[in-house]
Amino acid sequence: MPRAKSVVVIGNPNSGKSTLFNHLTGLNQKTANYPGVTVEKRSGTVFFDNKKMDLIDLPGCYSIYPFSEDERISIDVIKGNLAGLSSPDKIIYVLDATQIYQGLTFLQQLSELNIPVVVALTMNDIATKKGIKINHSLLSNKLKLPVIPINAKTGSGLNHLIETIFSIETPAEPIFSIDKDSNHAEEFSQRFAYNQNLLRELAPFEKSEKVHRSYAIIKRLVDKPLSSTILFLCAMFIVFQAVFAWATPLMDLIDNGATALSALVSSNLEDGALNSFVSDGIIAGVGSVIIFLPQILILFLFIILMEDTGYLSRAAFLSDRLMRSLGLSGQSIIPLLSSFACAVPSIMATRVIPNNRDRIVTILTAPFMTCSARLPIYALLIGAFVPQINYGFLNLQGLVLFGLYLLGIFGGSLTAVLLRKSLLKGPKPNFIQTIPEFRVPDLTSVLYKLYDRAIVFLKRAGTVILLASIFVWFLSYFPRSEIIQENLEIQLSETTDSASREIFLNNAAADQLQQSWLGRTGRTLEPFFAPLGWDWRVTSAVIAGFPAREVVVAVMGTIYAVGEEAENETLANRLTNAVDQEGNQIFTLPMVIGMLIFYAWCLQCVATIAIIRRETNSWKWPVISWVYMTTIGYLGAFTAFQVGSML
Amino acid sequence: MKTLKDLNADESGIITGISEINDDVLRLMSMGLVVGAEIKCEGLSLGGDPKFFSLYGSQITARNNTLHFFKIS
Repeated sequence: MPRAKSVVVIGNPNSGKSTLFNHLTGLNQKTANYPGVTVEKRSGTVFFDNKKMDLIDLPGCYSIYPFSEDERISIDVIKGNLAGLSSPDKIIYVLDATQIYQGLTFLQQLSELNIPVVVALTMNDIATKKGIKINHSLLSNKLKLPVIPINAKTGSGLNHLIETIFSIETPAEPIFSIDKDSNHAEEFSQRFAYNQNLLRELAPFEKSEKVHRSYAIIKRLVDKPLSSTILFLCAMFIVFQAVFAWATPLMDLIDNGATALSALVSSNLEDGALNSFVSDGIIAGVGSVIIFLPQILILFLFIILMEDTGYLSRAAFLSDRLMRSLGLSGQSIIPLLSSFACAVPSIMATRVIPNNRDRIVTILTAPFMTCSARLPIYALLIGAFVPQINYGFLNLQGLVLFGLYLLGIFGGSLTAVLLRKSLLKGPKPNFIQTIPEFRVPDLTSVLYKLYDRAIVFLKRAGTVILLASIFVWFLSYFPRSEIIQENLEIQLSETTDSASREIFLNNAAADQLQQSWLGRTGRTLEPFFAPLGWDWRVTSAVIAGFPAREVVVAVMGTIYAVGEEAENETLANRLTNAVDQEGNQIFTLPMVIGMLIFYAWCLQCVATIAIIRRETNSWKWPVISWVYMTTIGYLGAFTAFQVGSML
Repeated sequence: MKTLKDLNADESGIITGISEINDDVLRLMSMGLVVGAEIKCEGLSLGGDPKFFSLYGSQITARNNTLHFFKIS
C-alpha cells in the first residue's frame, strides 16, 4: 500500500486553521511531540475515495522567517528540517478573507517551495459583514493556485477542498519573483507592494456593502479603551464566578462517584495493604485530583471562547500597559490567565512569546497564580478558621479567598520585577501582535479544544498524580505496627457500637500514620517547621503534598483521623480542636494565615516542575523556581506566625 | 517628521519611510507595515500606548517605541 501523503495546514495566526483542521479530521486526530523537540504536534487523518491523507496542523506564521519558537517549528516542518520528518507533500494554505493583504506574503513565499498548494479562503461570512467581497475566481487566476471559499461551521466548500487536495499533484508556481539580492526588509517591501497592487485589482473594499450594524456596535464597544477595559473586568468577574459557582454540582458528582467506588472496592477486598492501596492510594488519590476537572473545563471553556471570539488578543492589548510595569508585555497575560486553571497548559502557552527571556520570566511567574489545586486547601482552612460574617453583600470568607488570589498575583508580579532586574535583565520586551476580527466561535471547534484539554488533564492525573498518590500512600502505610493492629482488634471485639468502632478505627489509623515513614519524616523535620507553628502532623501533610499540593487535604484527613475531605465539617472542627503535647492549640489564627501564605506562594506540583524543565530545556529554571518559591513561602508563613503570635 | 507614534484614534496616514530596521520593525514589516501602506489608527490603550491600527482589513497593535521608526505623511 502506498504511503499516505502528508499535508500541512498553515496560514497566519487566527486565520481559522485549527477550526478547519478539526472539521477535516474529526476525532481522527492526536497530539504528540515533534521528534527531538518539545512542541506539540497536532496531526490527524482524512479519508476520501478509499485514499488516506495525513494532516498536520501547524502554528500560524506571517512569513517564512520565524520570530517565535512556534513559528520556528512550522517553518522547519515545511522545509523538512526536523529530524525524522520529511517536508510535506502538499500544503493547505488558510487565507483569512478579511486579511488578504497580510496573508498573501506568506503564501507567496510558500509558492516558491515547489510543493502543491491549495488555498482555503476562510472567514467569508465576517468579510461580508465587514463589507469585503472577494472575487475568488479572479484571486485564483492571479495567484495561479486553486482558491476554495469554505465555511467550516456550515461545512460549505469542505468537500471541494478535500477533493482538490487529494487530486492536486502539480507544484505551485511562484506567485511573484523578488530580487535575488534583497534583504528581508526589501523582500517584505516588494512582496507587500505586490499585495497592494493585487488588492487594487481585486477591489474588495470598493465593492463593499454597508457594514453590518451589530458588528459596528460591538467593534465600537471593544475598540474604545474605557468601554473595553470595563468589558474586560466584567468578563474576568464572570469567569471567576462561573468557576466557583457552576462547577460545584459536577464536582460533587465526581466526589460522590469516587467515594462510592472507593467504598465498593473497599467492601469487596479483604482488609489489608491491597485494600488500602486501591481505595486510599489510587482511587482517593486520583479522585482528589479529577474532582477539579469541572473547574478546569469551565475555565478553559471561557478561555477558548475568549480566544475564538478574538477577545483574548484584545485583553492582551488592554493589559500591555500594566504588564509593562512588571517588565513583561501584553502577550504574557494569556498564559497568566490560564494559570488560574492550571500552570501546566499555561506554561505551554508561553510559546507564543517571541523573546526567550520574556518567555522564561512568564514561565516562572505563572505558578504564582492561584490554580484550582490550591482551592481545596483554601476552602478547608478558610471554612474552619474564618468566620461567616457578611458586610452588606460581601462575605468575609469570600474576601479572604479573593485576598489569596491577590496574594498570588502580588507574588508573581514581584517575581517578574525581580527577575527582570537580576537573572533575566535585558531590553524591555516589545508588544506586537495582530488582533483578529470579532467572530462567533465555532461550537464544534470549541468542543474539540475542550476535549483536548480534558484528555491532557486526565493523562496527567493518570500518570504524575497516580504515581505521586502511590508514593505518598506507600510512605504513609508502611511500616505497619503489629501492636497497634492487635490493640485495635481487641478494642473492636469489645464493642458493637458503630460510633465507638469508628473512633477506634480512626485512632488506629492515626497511630499507624504516626509511626509510618511519612510520620517519621514529619517528626524529623518538625523542628525546621516549628517556627511556622506546625507540628509533625502538619509537617507530614505538607511533605506529602510536595508532589501535588491537593494531596495535602487528603493526608490531613487521614492524619487527623477522620478520613473526610475539606468540605466535611468534622475535619474543619478537628483542625480547630487539634492540640500539641502541651495542650496548646495548633491551628491558631497566625499559624493558619501563615499556612495560607505558604500555599499561595510555594511550588508544590511535580507536573509544573516537569513542564518548566521541558519548556526551558534545562534543570536550572525548575530548581531556581522550586527553591525560590519554597523559600518565600516559608518566610511568608514564618513572618505571619511570628508577628501574629506577638500581637 | 510625523511618525506612526503621532497618530491619534481615527487618524490615517501613508507610510513614507522607515528610519531603522531592527527585529521589531522587521516583525511589523512582515505583517504589512511597509512603505506605501495606508494605515489608520483605530484605537489606543489606556494611556495612549500601545496603539491599535487597521491596514487593508488587518488589525495590528504595537508600542510607540517601535512605531516611531515608521515615518508617515
